[in-house]
Amino acid sequence: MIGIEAIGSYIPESRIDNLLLMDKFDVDEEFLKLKTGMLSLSVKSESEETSDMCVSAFNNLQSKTEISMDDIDCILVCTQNPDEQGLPHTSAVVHDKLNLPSTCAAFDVSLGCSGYVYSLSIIQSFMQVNGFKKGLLFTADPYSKIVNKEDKNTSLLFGDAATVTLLGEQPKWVAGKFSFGSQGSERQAITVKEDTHSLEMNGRSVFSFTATVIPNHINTMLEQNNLSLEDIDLFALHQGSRFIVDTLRKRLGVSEDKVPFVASEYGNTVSSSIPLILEDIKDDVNKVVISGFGVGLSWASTVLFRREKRELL
Amino acid sequence: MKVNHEDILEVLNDSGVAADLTGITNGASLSDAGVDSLDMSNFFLCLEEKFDIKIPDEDIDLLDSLDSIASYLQKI
Repeated sequence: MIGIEAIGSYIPESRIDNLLLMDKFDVDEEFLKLKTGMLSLSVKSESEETSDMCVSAFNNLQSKTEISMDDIDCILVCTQNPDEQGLPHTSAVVHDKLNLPSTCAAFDVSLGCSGYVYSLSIIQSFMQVNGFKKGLLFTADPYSKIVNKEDKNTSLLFGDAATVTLLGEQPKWVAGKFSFGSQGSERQAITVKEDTHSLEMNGRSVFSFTATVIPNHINTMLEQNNLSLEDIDLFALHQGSRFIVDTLRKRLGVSEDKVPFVASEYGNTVSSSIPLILEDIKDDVNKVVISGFGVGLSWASTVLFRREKRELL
Repeated sequence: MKVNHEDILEVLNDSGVAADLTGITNGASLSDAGVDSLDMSNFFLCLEEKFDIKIPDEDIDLLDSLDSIASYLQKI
């Protein structure tokens, strides 16, 4: 059975201090701490490309677990801010920079905040259908490429980061049934404008969508997995903002300790936010809901089971 | 729609707004009283759910006091 064996990450050291932007955007420290939740934002260097961030995440993974490059059957890069214009695909650049074998399949997935959950399902299925044994799922969506520094709605929120998830036949985590959703008619809620090439977000629209759609979606997904909210040890929700995570927690009726908010020092890292939570998960956590939602509008969720525990079920 | 200031204030308080609204007058600006943009978004969502309505984005800027919101809802 294919599942998650290990996770590596890369968060650039350079930071934007949001406390220094309070006057500029007419917000106070309480708003940053309790509402957006982002006190500082990680930001890549100008010369650093999306593929470089993937390589740095991979270097971190290699420091944790032994990986033979020749064993990697496929790589997937989830991004909407690829190297240069996205042609060739960033996974081809990563393939080259990691010196992976020519037998290794490489492809990109274009999704935002729902991208990790979608990509996990995609690469897992791709590996199982093709009999692959080792795969790498990268997330790297550096919004510093598209954020307008004068835009209050977005410039206090997004940070840069990359992660890589090693999938294989000796997993620590295996996924249950996935559930997906789309609302393409609302796609303009988060978009890059053609004329300015900068990110625009209708915060109210994104908030209303998330608060109304995602709790029902998670409950339905749990029913499909024959589980209830009480069975779940941790909810690794996309870290859009502290306010949205708190709102979802309240609407789900789940205690605060089960719904972490961990992004205050680096920001909303889009498809990297969920694997960044999973990377540091405690040993006593056995069932985790992962749920991503945003750009598209698009959403996806599943439950991860700690392998040795699920075998006992 | 039949709705009064007390109904709206109840929705506002139930929405979990962080600002202290004790003694707020019907004509006072909610943003001046400390209700931030995120709490306003949540408040409008709660109003939509409570009264089964949709408040378009273009109307939002007009709705910054209990008076203006009551007047708006009474016209629906």
